[in-house]
Amino acid sequence: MNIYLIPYTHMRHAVMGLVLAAVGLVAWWVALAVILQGGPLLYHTAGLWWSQRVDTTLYLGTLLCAVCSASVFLEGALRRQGMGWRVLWSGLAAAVALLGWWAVIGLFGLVLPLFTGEAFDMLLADAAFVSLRVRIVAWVAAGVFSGLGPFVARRAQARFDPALSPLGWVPWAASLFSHVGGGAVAGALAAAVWHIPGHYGGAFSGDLYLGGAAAAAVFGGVHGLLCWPLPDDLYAGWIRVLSAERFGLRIPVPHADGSAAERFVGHFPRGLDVYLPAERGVAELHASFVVDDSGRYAVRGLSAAPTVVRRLLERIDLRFDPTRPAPLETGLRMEDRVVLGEAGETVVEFLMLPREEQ
Amino acid sequence: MRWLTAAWLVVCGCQTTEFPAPVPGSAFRIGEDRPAAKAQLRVDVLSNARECAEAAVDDVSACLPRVDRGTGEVHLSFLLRDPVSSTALSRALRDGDVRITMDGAVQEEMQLIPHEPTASGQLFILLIDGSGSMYEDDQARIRKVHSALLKPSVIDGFFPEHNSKTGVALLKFNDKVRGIDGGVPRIVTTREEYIAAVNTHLMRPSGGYTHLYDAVMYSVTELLSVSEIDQFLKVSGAAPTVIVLTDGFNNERGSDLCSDNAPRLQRVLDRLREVRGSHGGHTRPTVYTVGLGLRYRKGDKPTGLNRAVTARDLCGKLADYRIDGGLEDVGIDHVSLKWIAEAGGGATFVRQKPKGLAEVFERAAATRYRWYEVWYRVVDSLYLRRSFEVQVQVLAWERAFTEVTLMPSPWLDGPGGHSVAGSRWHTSTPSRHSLAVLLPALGLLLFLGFLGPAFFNARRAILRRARPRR
Repeated sequence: MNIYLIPYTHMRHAVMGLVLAAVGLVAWWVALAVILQGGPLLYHTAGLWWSQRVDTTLYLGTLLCAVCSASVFLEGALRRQGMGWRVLWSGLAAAVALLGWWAVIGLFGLVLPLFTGEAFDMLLADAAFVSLRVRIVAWVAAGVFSGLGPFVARRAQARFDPALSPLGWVPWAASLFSHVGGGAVAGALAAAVWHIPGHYGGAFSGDLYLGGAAAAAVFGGVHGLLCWPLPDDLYAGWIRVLSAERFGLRIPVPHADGSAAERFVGHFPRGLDVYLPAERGVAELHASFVVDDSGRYAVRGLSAAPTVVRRLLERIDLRFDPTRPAPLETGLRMEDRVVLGEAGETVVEFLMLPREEQ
Repeated sequence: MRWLTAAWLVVCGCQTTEFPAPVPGSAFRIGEDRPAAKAQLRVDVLSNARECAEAAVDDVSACLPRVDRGTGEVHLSFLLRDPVSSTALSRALRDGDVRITMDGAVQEEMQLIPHEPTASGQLFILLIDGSGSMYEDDQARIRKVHSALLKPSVIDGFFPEHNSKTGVALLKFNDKVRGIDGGVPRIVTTREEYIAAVNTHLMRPSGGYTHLYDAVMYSVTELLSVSEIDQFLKVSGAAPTVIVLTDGFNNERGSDLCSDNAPRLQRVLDRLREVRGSHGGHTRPTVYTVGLGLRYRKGDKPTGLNRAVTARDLCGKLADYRIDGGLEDVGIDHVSLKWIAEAGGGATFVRQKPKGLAEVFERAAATRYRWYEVWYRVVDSLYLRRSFEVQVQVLAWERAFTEVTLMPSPWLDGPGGHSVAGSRWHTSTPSRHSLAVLLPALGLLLFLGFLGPAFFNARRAILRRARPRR
């Protein structure tokens, strides 16, 4: 996973889901291979075999560990962390998730018989019993802890890297909610997908082969979509010249440390951030691009010469009005064009690009 | 590392016993079979590769158990063993001879597939009633026997193409048991000899009373010690199969009543059970009984394999009726025949026509197989969503019963079976098929992952953001 291959479009929200769906599928395949091949191999070569109850850990445990550790590991890859750190944090996430999940399903296994009748107890005692009613808890718990594990790992990372620290309790709680809630939703949806093809008629009915695969993909996919969508702090805003003169010239708007900044564009030959020629309709100090501490980007019209922001079905005139105490400004979005000059001779665009390009 | 492995195994709760064993190609496990005690045979379910290898089956893949939850199909294989010596026994079983029940529910959709026709020898001892009644009415009854014995399918059964170690001893009995030619019992080992013997000697009239019980007793004891027969059994490793054919009752004196036969029959049964119990494996005789005619009364033998013979059970309300000139004229003693067949591990038949008789001979001489695979399909694959007991019951020849537990994975399944043209059952799909699911799915996800950047770049190229405007 590479931030350079993830443009700042709406699709970026789906990337983590797609990758974790793939991770889930691989986890399913590994678990299936271990159960179908590894177990018999161990049985035939060493005369040993694991208990049937271990199948739960082999499938859900593998899925849970793979998804939550991949989530943290891939974040490390996007942030260009060292490999050792990535492994450490993803291992921590997997350990927290697995131990917590084991504790919960163990506790559930002890508590559930207190509330069931004799007939149902017999079914519960059957390690081979396939039932959504009984297995849903393991699924949802796997989902919850697949969110909690990465959350704990990310909070632990934040202690070492202040840049990752939440700005307050509200973002902290929101992050916790997205991790736990997203995980629970992932677990519940995966349980439904696991159950439905195996239970109801249709082309994929009957068994838990494709149901198991689809559930693993859904578990990873929903986890990736909801728990940790790619944050904006991985990107930085840039100004890029689109018109022929100085085409392709670009500068980042924020400072290298990510702090607030204002970049000036004009034809004044010295001291401006982007020089554009006067003969292309650019005033001496034509416009400025700003970013505040919250990462919001805006453009200000500083000249009486035309400064128009263009986007689909929108045109915003930012020409300087001497009667107003302050220049006009408007927020910027990815690929907004800022047209400068009477005839629009000069065009610059605003782009969100990977921060590390700075 | 060893300690870590050991600790891991302990944490996993690894089993060190042989069972449950994995069901190849699936996420199922199979437990050890539990044969019923005191059965006449032991059904030995071949649960894993070791058992199949020890049974020396020729087709290991057909021997291994198989379960396909998607199609609801279960496949098991088994062979029959002597319950005392554990020697493998070959038997001729048909679909109706085996009943499969799953958690007590009889499985209607099933198929029994025999494997490896036995190469060991068989000795068919045809014990034909030579009493006067067989030759009455212009030899009508013995003609039916003659016609049945010379049917090509019957001859094929006695002398199968693939097995040259079979022989037939043609005997007649009245008050004594003699060879069909009136001499010492001898064995014919070729079709030509057999046809000649039947044609030459069967129709020759004889007479006397019907010492049926004595004849049965003789055929499973002294006859097997006759030099030629004993030699044949030893050299060819043959299993003796006695086929008793009669048209009446055991009738030793003119004054015999039906009730007189009860203690006599009990003695025969005791002796028969003793002989079958003492002979292990292949040399254990099997006795079939064939009644030529009609049943003499409506009732049948009471149920129960080891039930003592009483006059009431044997004769019903006719216990005090004379046999000679009385019951014998009404029909045949089908109750005695059934009792003898049950104790002899065989079956009993009552037939009137030559075609029916031929079927009986064909069945008694049917090819025996070393082992069987059995398929069944549950009406709803949801029944395979928890541990279940499969009971294999042999209902023909000898009775046998065993039970085996199958445990599915609570989470996953291997690839489902695929149908092959002409095959009633699905063929298992190798587990590498999972790659055929995994790789396209990964490819699709990868494609979707690249779709975003691709559209982004394409759009920028089309909208002339990627090159300067003129």
